[in-house]
Amino acid sequence: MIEFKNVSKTYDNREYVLNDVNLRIEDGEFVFIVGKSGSGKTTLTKLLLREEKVTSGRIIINGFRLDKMRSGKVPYLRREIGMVFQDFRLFPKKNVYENVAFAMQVIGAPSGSIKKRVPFFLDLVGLSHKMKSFPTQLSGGEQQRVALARAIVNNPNIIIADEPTGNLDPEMSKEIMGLLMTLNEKLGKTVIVVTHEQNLVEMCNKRVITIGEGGIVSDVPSKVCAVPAVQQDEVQEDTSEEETEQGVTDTEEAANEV
Amino acid sequence: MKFRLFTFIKEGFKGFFRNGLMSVASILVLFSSLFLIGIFTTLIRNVNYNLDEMQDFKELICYMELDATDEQIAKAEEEMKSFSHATNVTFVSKEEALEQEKQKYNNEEYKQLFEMYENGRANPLPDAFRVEYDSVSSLDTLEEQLIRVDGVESIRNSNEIAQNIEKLKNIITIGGTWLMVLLVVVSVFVIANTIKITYHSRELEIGIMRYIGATKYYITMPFVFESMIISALSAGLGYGAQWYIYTHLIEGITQKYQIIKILPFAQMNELFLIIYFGAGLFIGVFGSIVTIRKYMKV
Repeated sequence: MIEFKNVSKTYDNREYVLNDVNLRIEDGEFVFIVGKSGSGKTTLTKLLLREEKVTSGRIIINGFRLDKMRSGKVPYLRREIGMVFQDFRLFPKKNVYENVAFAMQVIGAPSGSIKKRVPFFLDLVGLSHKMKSFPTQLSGGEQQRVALARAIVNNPNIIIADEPTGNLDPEMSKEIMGLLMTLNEKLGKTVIVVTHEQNLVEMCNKRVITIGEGGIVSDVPSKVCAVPAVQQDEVQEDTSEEETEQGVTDTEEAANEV
Repeated sequence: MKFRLFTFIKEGFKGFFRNGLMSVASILVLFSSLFLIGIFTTLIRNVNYNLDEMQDFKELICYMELDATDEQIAKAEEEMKSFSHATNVTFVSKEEALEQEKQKYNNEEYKQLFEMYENGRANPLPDAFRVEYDSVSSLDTLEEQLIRVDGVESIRNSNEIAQNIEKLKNIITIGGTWLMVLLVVVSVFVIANTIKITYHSRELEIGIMRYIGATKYYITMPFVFESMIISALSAGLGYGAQWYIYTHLIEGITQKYQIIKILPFAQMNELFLIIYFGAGLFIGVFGSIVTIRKYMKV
């Protein structure tokens, strides 16, 4: 659960970027956060990651009080959150497998667990055949899928995607959105997509929070979802439904081992 | 947190080789600083050693009255030898003293003067005693005892010299220490600069590590190991150079010319090991941790 209670944020005591924001996102929700440039979307993301501290108010994420958190505890918060960026942020000198495995190595996961989980998540995003490829050998959509696999390999409860389709063409954007929907619906992850692409939001029947003028302008569900079913089929194209369910169970078991 | 020593060492070496020229430059600068520290230590230790030797030369000269009789001189010698702080008493007759002066001023200018004394002119020098004593602290007591001895006219002591030597030792030690502190600070800056460059070249990587939940410890350790590699290589190079110069040049020159006494390398070795490897590693670890903490945001 994510909760913002009377959260305000100002940089250098100037104008408020966010002012008295109240927000609650339940576990397993899929939420779009939209708004114009400079509306405070990035600040909101930074607050969620505790990259910035609140000026006043309270933020709670999965039992962590971010407003009172010491910097030494921040890495443990971030292990609860999988982050996907517009520019993918992959290691160019590491191959696909190594990029995903690195996220587990960093938190001290045992090598047995890494060998088990990395192929599973690469399969989930449809890239098991490209494990040895380097980021420069992949398309934008494929790179973003690697980033997504890296974001979820440590089994976080929350996934934050900051403009995940910003560098992708419409087809690849649908593909990525489909994957995010799958993670939300099949694995029960809380997904927060920060975007300014209105057409992407309109395709999905999900909650949309609009940020502007230092606060929440609106908080409503959108209309119809046109993407997920197709994308889920693509992701699972080599895997039967039973295998997928078994895979999900394995993921949870593997997550417990770490 | 598990201690992933092997990973950190591997990453440290990777960073070291990735920075190529910068690593080499850092080694050379750090080596120079450590070597200068080593040279100053050599100087300070050996100058102090020589000054100590000079200070150890504790001696008073007691001049007898010009008309002191043989009987007075014999009694004075006996009395002086009975003083507990006098470790050795040697009589120097006025003839011996004149001969010593003659040897000292053995040139044409003084030849005529000494010839006058040889041709019957009265020797102006008094009989005297060289009195060696046990310690500087007992000097005042001994002087009081000596001046009361019958026939003693005056006393000349080297106390002032000892005090000046002590002052000189302090100046050298304090000045040298400050200079070494300055060199350590310079070395820390050198390491900090290398780590800063490494850090900026790996900003993307570090950023990703931070987002996926790497602790500061995990991010910092490869940098610490990288600077430890630089420090260890600089220290090894410096220690080797110090050993060569000390044993082949300094010891060789002093043995040949006997200008000053030099402590053998074996007696300096422990100090050199501390300076090169202890200070070197401290500089490396301290410099890298401070830099990373400065640049790494939460």
